[in-house]
Amino acid sequence: MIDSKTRLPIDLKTRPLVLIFILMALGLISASYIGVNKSLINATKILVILLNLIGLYSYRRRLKWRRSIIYILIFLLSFIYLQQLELGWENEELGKVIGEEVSLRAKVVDVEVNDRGIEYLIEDIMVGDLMSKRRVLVSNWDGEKELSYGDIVEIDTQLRLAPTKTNPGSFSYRDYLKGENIYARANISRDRGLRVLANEGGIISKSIRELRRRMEISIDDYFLSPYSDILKALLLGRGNLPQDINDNFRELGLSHILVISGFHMGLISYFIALICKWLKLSKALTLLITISTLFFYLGLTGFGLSSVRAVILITLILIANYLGRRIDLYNILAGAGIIILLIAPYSLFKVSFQLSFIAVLSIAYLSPVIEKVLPIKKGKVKKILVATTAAQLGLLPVLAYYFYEVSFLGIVANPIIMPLVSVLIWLALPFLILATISFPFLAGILAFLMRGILVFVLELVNLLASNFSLSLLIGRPNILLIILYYLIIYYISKLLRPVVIPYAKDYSRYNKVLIASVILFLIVQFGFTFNRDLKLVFFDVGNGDAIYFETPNGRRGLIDAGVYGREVVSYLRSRGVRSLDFVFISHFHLDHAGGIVEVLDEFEVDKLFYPPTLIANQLEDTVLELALDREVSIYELIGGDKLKVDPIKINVLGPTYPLIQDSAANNNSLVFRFNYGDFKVLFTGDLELEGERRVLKEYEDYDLASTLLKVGHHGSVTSTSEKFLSSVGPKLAVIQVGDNTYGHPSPLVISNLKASGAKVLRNDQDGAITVFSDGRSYRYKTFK
Amino acid sequence: MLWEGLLNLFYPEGVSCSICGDEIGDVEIDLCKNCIGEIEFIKDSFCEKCGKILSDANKSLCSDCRRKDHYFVKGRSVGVYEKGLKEYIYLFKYNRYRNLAAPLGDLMGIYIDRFFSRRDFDLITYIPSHQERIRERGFNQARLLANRVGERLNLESKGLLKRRSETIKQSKLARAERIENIKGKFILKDGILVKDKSILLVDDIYTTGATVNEASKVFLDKGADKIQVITLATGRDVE
Repeated sequence: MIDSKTRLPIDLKTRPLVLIFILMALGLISASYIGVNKSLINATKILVILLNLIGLYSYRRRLKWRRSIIYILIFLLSFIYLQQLELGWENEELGKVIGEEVSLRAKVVDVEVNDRGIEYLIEDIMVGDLMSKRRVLVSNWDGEKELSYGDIVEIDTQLRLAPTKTNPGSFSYRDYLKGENIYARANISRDRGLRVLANEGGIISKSIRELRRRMEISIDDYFLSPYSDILKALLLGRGNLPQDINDNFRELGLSHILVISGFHMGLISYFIALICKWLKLSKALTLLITISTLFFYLGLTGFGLSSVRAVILITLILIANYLGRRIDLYNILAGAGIIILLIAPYSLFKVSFQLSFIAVLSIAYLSPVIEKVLPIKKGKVKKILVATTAAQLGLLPVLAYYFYEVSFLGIVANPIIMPLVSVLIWLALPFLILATISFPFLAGILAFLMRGILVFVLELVNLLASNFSLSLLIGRPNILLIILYYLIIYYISKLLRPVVIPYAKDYSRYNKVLIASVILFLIVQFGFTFNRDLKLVFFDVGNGDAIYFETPNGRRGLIDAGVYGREVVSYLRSRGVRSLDFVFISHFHLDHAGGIVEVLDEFEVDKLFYPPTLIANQLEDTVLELALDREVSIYELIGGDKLKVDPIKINVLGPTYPLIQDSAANNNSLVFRFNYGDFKVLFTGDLELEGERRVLKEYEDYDLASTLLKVGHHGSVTSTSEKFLSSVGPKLAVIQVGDNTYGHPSPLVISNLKASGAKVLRNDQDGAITVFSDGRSYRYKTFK
Repeated sequence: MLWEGLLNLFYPEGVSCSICGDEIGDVEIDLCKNCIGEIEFIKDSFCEKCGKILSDANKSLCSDCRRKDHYFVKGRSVGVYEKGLKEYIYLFKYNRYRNLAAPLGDLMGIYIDRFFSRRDFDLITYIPSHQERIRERGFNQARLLANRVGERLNLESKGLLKRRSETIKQSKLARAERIENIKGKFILKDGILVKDKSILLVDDIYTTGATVNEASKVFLDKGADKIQVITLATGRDVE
């Protein structure tokens, strides 16, 4: 084939590690995707042994395909590697004491003070005779005890597993912690039940931490917050930046500037090279000093993934220079990736790993092309502009996947901010050393200059962030779309690459692939909007209600939003939704309407519907005031009102006047029914028995029969009377319920529902529940 | 051993330029950008029949092809037989530069993709050289080039022709003598059938076209369907 001779980035001869990295990554991804399967692990192990034998034979015989066996083995071994780790995670000893009151003994490895108290990371955990190598994150609410590294502590507490992902568009905190080898969380408050027994910290680890603490203190001596916070992030990798600064930097596409990266490492190597040259040290010694300093700095800053990547990359380059070997960037980048995945395979699934590697890759691959296309003369600004554009293009799908929005301001902001921050780091590294070893005069001069830059940068960032907004909420793209995007970028850059040999590029073939990819991209992106389904999502918001609906004509709405609204917000953002046509509030209780505040803040809402209330309510005032402030049209609905959202008719059944006095908020919940052909959904809010009786009485001859019943009041025993149930006769009953102390849902209600022939779905057991209907039939999907 | 292996994994020897030995960058063939830059490629104003570069860009045929037709259907050539390409073909004659077959063959492959249809060929063959010269040199350049082209087209190149008897080296003769000298010099090898076949004929240099023309005639006489010619270098058209 013709392409066998064009050198691809995966060229085996000049870049052997690239394929190995890809195979490792594929092995890890498939292992994570398939999930733990013991018999699969055993089968794979047998396969590996067999392949070893075949490989041995084929190498002795020098068979043609002997290399392929090695590649298959790399894939399978990575697969087994992750499966074993997952298995260990499932069989974790600490799992036996989850939820129990225990007294555990452990070693403190990290301490972080925040505005809610102090958090300790502990390991080497012993509970009775259980021992674990995992870590546990302990939150000490309003605590004051600042433990230090190596402290052996005894804590009386209860271990809890972090929540997993139970809603579409949300993220799994448990998986995040797993990536940090943290098995569980625990809470204590005000230092209660926390005893320090001894200290067993190793001398090296302790002195590194002590040095870091001293450095932080010297930064605090010379700078005020937030400048000191920025410097700590920039120099020591401490991530406690004020939220608004973080947001501003992200909005401008400048987050990478606040991370320790290749620039720092390059600068350190450069300083050391200068000093060693001045001292006339040998090349070998210089190499040794540089590498050990870099690793020391890595330890000092807590092994952030992008700095680990940078250090490995620079180390590989320095070794190559020392040995006089050729460097292929793609190959050593893959090498760095392989090293990281061998040590910490979960890194592959971390955002920082993906961002860091894809950024370097895009800059390397796309820069020559962009440089050719950009109509600017050479210069430093052009260089940064080219690199930022390249990184931006390469990172776009990843950013959209994780943050749902992309910012184009980065292309403008980087060429301005980056040189300033580079100068800042130039000054800051010597400052840090001088200030820590007490050279107040020189440190003071440097600090003066740094302060100037910091103030300027921060003001500029604020100015840009508050006046320009070029960030675009596009939602989470699906994987096929991401692959197509990269294909398109790859082929465009191939077409734009400078020509050396005439006709070497098969333009017609590239064009064909390119056009096919673009068409497919458009189909995947826009092609599926022709569905005629009504879609309902019942979110898992703990003990509370939150329902999203999307009509066949693409109108969108919410019915309640839980206490905080964050599940709803992150789902809508992941779908790229910026506005809502309707918001219904069943009644003004926190577990239903609390999240509406967040929703009104985040989205452009057109119409808001709510029931009349008997008693004044603080939440009602807040919500309605905010709604008016945001120019949302608000409507009070009562029984008998009719709305039409083509092709869906909405009948409001309650509340009716006079409003019910008993348990007023609940009993006067907005009760309404969606009618979409034969598919009918009854929403009841927290309606109780009294309210149900009213509905039954008012609508005696009105057919209450519904396909789906949103069971009233989280399945409470005070709702869903047998009479009401028999009038509604649902096929599907959804109970929006979570952890609570009220005894929701009532076993009696559940057995009544089941006896009536309804399929019972519960958010606490099923996670989010999605229901689709075309007006005739329906189907549902549970998220767990 | 293990150390050496690791070093080779992390820092593999790159592909170096077959001419100057420099490391090559992002180029499709085994030559560096500088050495490729020395080649004068034929891009526009070439003879539509034989591929020779034209002195008068307004014409579509070179003076030769205007004078008389050839037995082959179409001929194309990669570059002008001057400067870089002349030097490379000269070097290619020596065993030490035998591996030039790869980049030079790839150049021909690229031109084949551009000017011919890949599915158009049933057979790939080359002009045989003198037994004596093979003895001198150890190999036939045209055969190496044809092999490389064949690899790219997934079609095995085969030696279909042999020389009838010793002919005098073409380059030592004048134009009229050349045509005379070559006449009846090729015959089909025994047991080779070319009836209704479409043949790609590979040679290194195209000057008057006498050699490839004579070979084409042999094939056509035996019933071949059509002959197309690819050469590495050609001269300029002289009026």
